[in-house]
Amino acid sequence: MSQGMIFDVKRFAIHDGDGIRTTLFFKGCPLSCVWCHNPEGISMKPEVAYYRHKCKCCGACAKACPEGAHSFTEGGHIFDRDKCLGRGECEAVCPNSAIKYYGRQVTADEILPELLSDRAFYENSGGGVTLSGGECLMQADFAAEILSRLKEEGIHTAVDTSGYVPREAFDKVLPYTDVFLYDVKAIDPAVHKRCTGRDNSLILNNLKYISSRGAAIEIRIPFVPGYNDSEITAIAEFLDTVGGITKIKVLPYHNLAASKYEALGMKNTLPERVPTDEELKSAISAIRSAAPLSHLR
Amino acid sequence: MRILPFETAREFMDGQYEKVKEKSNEEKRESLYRAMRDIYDAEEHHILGKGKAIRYFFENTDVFVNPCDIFADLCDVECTPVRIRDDEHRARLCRSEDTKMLIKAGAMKAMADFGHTAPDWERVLRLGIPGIIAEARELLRAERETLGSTPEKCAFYSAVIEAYEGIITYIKRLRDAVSLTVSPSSDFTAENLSAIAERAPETLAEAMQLYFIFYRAQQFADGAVLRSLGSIDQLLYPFYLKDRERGVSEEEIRELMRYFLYKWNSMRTLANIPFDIGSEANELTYIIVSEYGKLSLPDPKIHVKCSDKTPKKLILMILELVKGGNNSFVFVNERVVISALENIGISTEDANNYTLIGCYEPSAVGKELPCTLNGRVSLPMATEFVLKRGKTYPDFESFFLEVMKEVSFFIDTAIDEVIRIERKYPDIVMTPILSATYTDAMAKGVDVYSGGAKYNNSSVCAFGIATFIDGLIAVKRAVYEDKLITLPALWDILAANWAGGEELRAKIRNSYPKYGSGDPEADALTSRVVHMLSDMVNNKDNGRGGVFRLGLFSIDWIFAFGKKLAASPDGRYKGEPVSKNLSASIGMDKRGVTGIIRSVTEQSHSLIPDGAVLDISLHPSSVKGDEGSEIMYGLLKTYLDGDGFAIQMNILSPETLRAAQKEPEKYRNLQVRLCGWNVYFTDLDEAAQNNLIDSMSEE
Repeated sequence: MSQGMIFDVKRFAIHDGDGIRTTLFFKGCPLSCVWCHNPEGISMKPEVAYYRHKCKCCGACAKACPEGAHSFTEGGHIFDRDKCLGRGECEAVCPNSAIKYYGRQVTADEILPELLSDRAFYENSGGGVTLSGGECLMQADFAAEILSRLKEEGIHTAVDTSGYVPREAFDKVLPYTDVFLYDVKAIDPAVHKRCTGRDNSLILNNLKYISSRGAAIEIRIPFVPGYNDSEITAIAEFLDTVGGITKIKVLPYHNLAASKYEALGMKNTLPERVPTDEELKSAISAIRSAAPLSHLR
Repeated sequence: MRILPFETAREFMDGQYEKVKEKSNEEKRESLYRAMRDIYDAEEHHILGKGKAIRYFFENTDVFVNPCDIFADLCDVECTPVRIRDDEHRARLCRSEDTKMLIKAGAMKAMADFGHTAPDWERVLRLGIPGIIAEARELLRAERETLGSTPEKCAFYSAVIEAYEGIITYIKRLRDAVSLTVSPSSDFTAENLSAIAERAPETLAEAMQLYFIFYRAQQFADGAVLRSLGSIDQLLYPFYLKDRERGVSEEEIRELMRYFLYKWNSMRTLANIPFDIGSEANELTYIIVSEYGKLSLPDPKIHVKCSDKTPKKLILMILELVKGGNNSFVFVNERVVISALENIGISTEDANNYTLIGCYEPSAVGKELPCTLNGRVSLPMATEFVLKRGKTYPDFESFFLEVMKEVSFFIDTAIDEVIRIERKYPDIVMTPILSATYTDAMAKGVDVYSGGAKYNNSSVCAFGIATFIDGLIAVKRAVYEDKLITLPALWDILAANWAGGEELRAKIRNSYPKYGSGDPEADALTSRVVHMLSDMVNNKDNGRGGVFRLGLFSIDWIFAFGKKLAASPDGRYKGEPVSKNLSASIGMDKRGVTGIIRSVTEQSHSLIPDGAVLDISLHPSSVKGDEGSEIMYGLLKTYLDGDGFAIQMNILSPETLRAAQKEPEKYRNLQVRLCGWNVYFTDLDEAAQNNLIDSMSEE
């Protein structure tokens, strides 16, 4: 049985597909989108995050850490990330929830009971389980194993993906995936590269591929003024040529993830500006006029 | 229907009951009381004295007319026969030493409950006041003709006749006052009053008018607040049908309904008035819900009875209102209610005709005097009592049993105290108006508070269940499994309010299983505790022909009792509130809303006949649009399918509540559902406001 690296299980997830869902977050992502709101999902390795604003300098973590990564001076709490082996003993002892440990190696057997525990809610609301991340298809074998087990249980499955994975990854999960939540961020390769650090031809080709294989697809367009707002019409025109799309959602960018970057010791790349209601409305109507789908939100 | 349009009348109905208070004449009040007291004292049988005092009250209290209201019921209620009861009660109050000690310690409270019940409205509306008088006369005549007839029974029937004739006088005095008033509605109102003085109501307006008259009569003459209105959509439906048949338009029905609902709402400072809507909806149900929604009222409270027959359409319509900030609704699970009532010996037939009292307490209509609010026991205090003694126990099981022994002591003391006061009911409380609606009381000729009902029950509520369970598990793990600390040392830390024990506190809060988070260990322990509580309370004889009912709700006692509780082993600091209703401890519902629903539905709610409720809070962004309604429906349905007892929802963001704290004047209409009823958020004190915000912030 394969193992996977995950960083969270969110119950009562209601923005990751239809109905009440449980979302399993895979750790590791090939893209580095400037607006990423789950930076803890980028690295494949477990990480310790330290939220300074919650810390009351009690010293409990220093006692718990065998590597001495946490120390206290007059200036306060110093977390030396270089010494940290990412084992996370400090998380459990912190009385103020200032330390979060992201990353857990699990097998399908271990995680499945948690994914199934809200089954009654899925049935009563038309929900199910969503695999997200990070990029869940970077661990395609593990994802496929979980998805197939869920399908055996009769659970509705969704795969939330950036599309930046080898086509074979899709082949592995296609038989067990009821709907793909597929991100399209830009059509112009230069814009895409500036936003995500990568070229987009693989993403667009994979989208056409799964469409040709008959997949149901919900498109998600993160809308980030100053980055991809000029791309909206091009995206809509492109989508109009792709079959199997059931919904298109414009996801307005929010900048609420800033504290996570600091806590993880990462450079904060988040754009400052969030879209105004007017910008959002005009983006939605641009999509609507170019891609006449009925379920736009 | 010639009446003032509701929209014009509306603002003149606000505060009408308070305005009457201002007109109350203090001098007259005192002479009224002396006269009623003399009448009461002159009778050999208290019940007859009470009946005559009630009659005297209605003959003499000042009546008032609000010319803008189409229903009349205003009178001076600053001095009513209730005062007789209160005086008699006070004179007989004598607490045991154990009770005094436990009350002082903040472990329990026990008291008489004259309020929480409901008259059999079906009988009231079917027979009318004259019909009940006729029945009582017939029973009195038959009793007098019986060999060996008892003076007590005769006194009861005479009392009913006296009191109900008093109500007729009240109706006629109101009619005369209305007739002297110049208003577009006065003919309409006067005609309705004339009709119900003479016979049973026939039209919807007459039935509604009788509702107010009777509610006020039983509340201020018998002396009982908090009496429910019953399933109004079912009770008023025959009148609705007759009205429609004789050509009354739907819009006219809606106009009446607006007056009806708004008038209850304008009464709200006097009492928490609930009604329920039946699990089988009819056209009137939809009219009630839609008008109620349009008026956007916080009162009266609405219990939504839910069964497999309840149309999804109705539920979605109500969820839409809840989403819009109308928190007056609580959803109650019919199947569970009925089996819970059956578990305390109520017949299936009687249980099927149930209504909900107070917050969500079920009762068999016209058969049961439930007294749903007698005893209240703080579970976490039992743990404190045991820890405080500084003793050690060889294993968790012995410690646990010692704590449960303490709980049992609290409960037994509460039960003794309730029995002690209830035994004196025949000398304290007589309710000819209420009692005459109970067929068994009429057949027996005995007041319901003296055992006249078919089921004469009492209640004990145990609360703080999450704080309690989390604390027990903390002891189990920290003391007996991980051996981090001894029991006496744990108490030292708690007595010091966790000073020096912050690491232990973190460990307990972060690593140990918690109530309400879908944890099998915590759920199993909770289940064991609930069964033990059920054995301690349910079906215990109350000495007046009835039994005790177990409740697991907390209302707002969590604040007062929390203040007296030291730091508790679950990680709670000294003085903080204990957990609310069936909710997890604040911040400890680690598996979110689905986790708490799953945990709560692991328990056998049919063991909780006095009621229990789960409060859930959802952020408005999570339930937007039609998809959001489906999500709420999914939560509700899963709770009901899992045999949860009752559930209430707040759709609010903590940001909104914080903003309302800062600028209360801008948020005067913001409603929140708290403990067992909904209130305007800005009316809450700061502690209650913060508690609500904290319970939402951990999303």
